[in-house]
Amino acid sequence: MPYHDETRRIHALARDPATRWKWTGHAEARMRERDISRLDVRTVLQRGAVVRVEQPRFEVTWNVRGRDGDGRPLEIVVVARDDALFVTVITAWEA
Amino acid sequence: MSDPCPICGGATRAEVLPEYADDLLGLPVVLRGAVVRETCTVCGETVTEIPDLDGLTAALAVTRALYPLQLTGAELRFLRKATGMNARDFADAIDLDTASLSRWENDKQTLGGYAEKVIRVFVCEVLHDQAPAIPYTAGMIPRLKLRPHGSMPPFRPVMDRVRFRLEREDTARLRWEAEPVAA
Repeated sequence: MPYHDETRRIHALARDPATRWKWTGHAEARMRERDISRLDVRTVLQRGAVVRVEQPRFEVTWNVRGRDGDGRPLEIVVVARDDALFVTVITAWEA
Repeated sequence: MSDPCPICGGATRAEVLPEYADDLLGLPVVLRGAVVRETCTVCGETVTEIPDLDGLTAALAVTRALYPLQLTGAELRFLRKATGMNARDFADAIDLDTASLSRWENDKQTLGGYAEKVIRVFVCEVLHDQAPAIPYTAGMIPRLKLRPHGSMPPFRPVMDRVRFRLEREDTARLRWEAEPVAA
């Protein structure tokens, strides 16, 4: 697994009840279009693997690939801020 | 203080929304006085924060399980996902075959009253510890009189954040509570 530390970090964040979940308007619009729920995203972030790390704009983003509770493959792009323990979901699409 | 915009790093302006109708949890729900909306003053991107997502999911699932209107397939799918289980694990946990669960979740077959009550009890037993502000005891669901669609208002919960202290805790914490609905 190329991003082992990042994957462990995202699993810990997604499973921590204290994590603050933030959703961009863009992510929510894509989720509505593709019938992806917040619980689907949560499942992918709890069990998926980080497959890409990049800094396209202001923040470093992690692409997390996995399956939701229906077995549907999804890829979620998130910003994980260690200090504040929250995940910002940027977008989501079917892999 | 609000966090910088995750897209451009600009400053954001935060407000607590008096009411927020959410349609992305799997069940429609209105959240009062808890959701924070941040708007970037530079790029205009909005970011929505829903506090205590796990607690909200559990509270919503337990509230639905206790509402006597028969479950739709989409509601059953939400209850299953709220437990964090995939279809196979959920079906195994209650000695059900996965094909039956799939037919119910896709509205190809109607749940029977007995099966529906077993599922409701299971969901509440898994989740009620995470939703302590929702009153629940094990005897509530067996005594529930399930009602067909059209015989009572659809499930449209309104959820508030309330200070609630468990006996084992020293201080009260904010939890999700459902506004009482006349059944």
